[in-house]
Amino acid sequence: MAEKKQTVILQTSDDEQFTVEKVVAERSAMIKSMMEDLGDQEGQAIPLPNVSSSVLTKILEYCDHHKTEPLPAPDANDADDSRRKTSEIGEWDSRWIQVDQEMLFEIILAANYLDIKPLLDVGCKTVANMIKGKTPEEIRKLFNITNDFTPEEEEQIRKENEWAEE
Amino acid sequence: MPSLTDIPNEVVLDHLLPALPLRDLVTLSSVNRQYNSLTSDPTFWRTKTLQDFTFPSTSHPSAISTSNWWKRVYLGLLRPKAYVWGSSDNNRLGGAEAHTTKRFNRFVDLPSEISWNPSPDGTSKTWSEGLQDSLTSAISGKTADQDGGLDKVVCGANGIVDLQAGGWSFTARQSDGSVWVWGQLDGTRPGFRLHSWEDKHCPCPYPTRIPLPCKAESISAGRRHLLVLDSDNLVWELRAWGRAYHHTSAELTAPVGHGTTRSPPHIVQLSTGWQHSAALTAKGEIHIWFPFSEAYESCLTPVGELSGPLSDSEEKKEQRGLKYGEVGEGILMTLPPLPSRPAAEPSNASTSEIETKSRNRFARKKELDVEWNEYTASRTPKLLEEEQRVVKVASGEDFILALKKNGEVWLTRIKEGVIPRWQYMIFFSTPKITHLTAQFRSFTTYATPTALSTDSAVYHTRLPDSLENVPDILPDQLDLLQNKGIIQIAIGDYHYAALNDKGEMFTWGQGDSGQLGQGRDRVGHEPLQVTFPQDQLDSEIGHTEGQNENRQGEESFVFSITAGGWHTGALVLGDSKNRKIPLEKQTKEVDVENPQEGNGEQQSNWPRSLWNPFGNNPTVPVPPAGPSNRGGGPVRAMPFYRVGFAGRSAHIGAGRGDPLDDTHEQASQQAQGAGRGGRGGQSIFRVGFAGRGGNLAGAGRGAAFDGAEGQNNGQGPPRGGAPIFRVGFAGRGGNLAGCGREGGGASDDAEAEGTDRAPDGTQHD
Repeated sequence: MAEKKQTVILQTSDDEQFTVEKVVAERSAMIKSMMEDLGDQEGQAIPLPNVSSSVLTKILEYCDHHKTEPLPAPDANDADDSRRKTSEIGEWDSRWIQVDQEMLFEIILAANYLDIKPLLDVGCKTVANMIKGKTPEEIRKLFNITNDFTPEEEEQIRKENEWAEE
Repeated sequence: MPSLTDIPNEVVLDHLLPALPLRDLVTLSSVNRQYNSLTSDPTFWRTKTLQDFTFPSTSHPSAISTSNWWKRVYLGLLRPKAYVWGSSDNNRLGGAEAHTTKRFNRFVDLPSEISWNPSPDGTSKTWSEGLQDSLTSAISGKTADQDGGLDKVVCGANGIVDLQAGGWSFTARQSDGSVWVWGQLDGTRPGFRLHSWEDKHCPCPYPTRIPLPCKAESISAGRRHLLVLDSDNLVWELRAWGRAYHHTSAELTAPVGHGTTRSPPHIVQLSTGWQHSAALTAKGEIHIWFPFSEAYESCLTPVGELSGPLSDSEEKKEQRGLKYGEVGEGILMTLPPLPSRPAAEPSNASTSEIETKSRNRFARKKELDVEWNEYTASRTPKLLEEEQRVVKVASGEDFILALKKNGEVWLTRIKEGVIPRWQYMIFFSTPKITHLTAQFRSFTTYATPTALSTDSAVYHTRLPDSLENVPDILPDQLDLLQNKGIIQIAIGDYHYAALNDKGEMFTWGQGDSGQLGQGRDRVGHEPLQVTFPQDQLDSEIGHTEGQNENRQGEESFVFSITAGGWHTGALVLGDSKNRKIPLEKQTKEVDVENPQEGNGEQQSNWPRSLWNPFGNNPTVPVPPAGPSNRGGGPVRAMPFYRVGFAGRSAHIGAGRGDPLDDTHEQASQQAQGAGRGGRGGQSIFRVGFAGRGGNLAGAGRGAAFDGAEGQNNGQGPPRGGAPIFRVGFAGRGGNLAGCGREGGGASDDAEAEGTDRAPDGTQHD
């Protein structure tokens, strides 16, 4: 393959430019399809107005680590899909995703925007692990969520959910 | 700074919620309104149901039907109940007949819950009780498991997800892939002296697991044989419950190798008639064979070379072991491809078309032509071509019915030595048809409600003796079933059953063996709703206490139905409500229900689990009546943990319209839901596993009390305080332990009786 090390330029919301190996950038289905649309226009930067440079740096780390893995087929069947969703987070991934909450959610939002499904799963599983075993109040506190139920509603829900509180 | 609440809803639904155990989903629902509504999303529950329970795909409502269906199904599948009724010959009711007082010499005419898992000490339990036991032990055994939670337990739980009636038997498949049978596989001869079920006539008096060397993904029970599709897409055939043979023909096991598609062809559906078996591939090819033919017999692994026997236990090896082998090649016949729909006949209303019937036919044909023209006009040629594929088949006595994706229904006779010839069933085909059912000499094609339309249609007929002019057959007039959201039809030899998307079951046809479940010997000319024991209790209580209007949504929710020769079965979602029936009330009921045999020994009134075996007084105070907010108070949805909460379903309807919900793609659908508030109200599942105050207390949890529940169920003291079972799941709390024991006695009786009766118990089929 003569076209080794093909690169692409990505431009973040804070106007930083990243020159990235194509195989790395292709982890993002969104960038991949944009590259296809752009064709061979060398040097043309792909704008990513929803991703900041700090987040992109982090995500590129992930993409680089996983660049040799097969891309999930666009029409991956349900079985694969559910297997992926229920499997544990890989060792490297779980170390990589040890970030503060703000970054975690930035990563999830960016993964959604860039359409990187496995990354989205890693992010969401991490959030799921933070949620597991907590009480609603602990969850609200952890994620700074306002309780917008009325007291009556809350009491009702509490009663209904009692079975789950061992 | 982004937070949990900024995650787009579709990401939450597709990625976050699937990663959470059931219990944390419940917690999340009470965090705030946004998550409350997300955790009750119907699409999410549908996916979860299909993943956690291998729910038979042929009985799904197509696409998205009513939005509450799936959550309701999921929660009910945690503790499903199986009811059977009809002829009790051949042990085909599996001992359920002992659970009812509505028992006649040879049949039961009311739904009776089937007993389960007879254990060594002679006790037996109903299916749902057995399930609760397994959940309880699984939970206690899992405490060390860090994120074991309820979800893992649930995935491993043995809910029955598929029940099918054979000629003289029932076959049940549990979500763990095990297959259970009872009755007599081949009832053409009495089998009361036979002990090993390697003989096809051997009767099986109570539900017994076939120790298959595989996990069953789907089953198809024919009149006297059984097909199992396992998780490796291997087809197993059993003509006696003690012998299984898997097919080795290339067509049924391997890609045919045309190389045109990426995915190898594989079996998507099995179908069994009286003398034939059929397998439908993903590509739409139909392979058939005759499992009772000499050719078939001669290509089986010889008896002496069978593997096994496999058995659950040493002592059962002799009688209930399973030997297995292979079916060789060369017995399959591939049916010819289905032709294209015949062109509309030129409208030459000839002179012969004067009689009314012909005129009806003529008018109907015109209507159908219009529908088909619209269909053709609305699709691309490519799509039209793709929709020529056969997507479902159904087998009757000696015919097969095939449904194309486009809604065309074709019929061919299937008989050894007769060349199959497809006939187009003009009046049973419309572009909306999505399902087929056939058995013996009847068949039904039907269109289930879809996301696009709530219309549904049912076309049913009994075939004439000759299959000559079948295309001219007009469907029966079943006005009561049209546009009633019918999602499943089951056909017995002379009786029929329909299930709608509200979980209501209807039966019609011949009822002289109680197979209509209507409580009396009758012939049903019109479909009539079947009442399940708990409904009846409800209505009795309702009448006496004047609370009828409070019971909206409290009926049993049937999720699957089946019918065979002279018997019928239904799977009902687990009970959601603690039935706090005053003790005196129970006693009275015995008198009423059981005037002639009301002695202490035979108080086997249904349903057993309603009995408080300890006869103890409630140990938990009656809760004060809570504020009445049923009918759509401000609290939204909460559907699934709504278990204890009788009939408050109206909330859900109300919740649907909330703008918070609208962010998700379901918005329009949900809005629709709001419009149907009342209806939603009925089909809601009530999930809340706990809810049942008394039970919780019994489990040592102390406080738990559900005020509204108390109010709803009226004055009854909470039953209760009983043992430990109650971890949260399910229905009829405290008394399980005791019930199990009582049930055991009953089951023994049944067995003895079954044997006694066997000599005369074989004619009915």
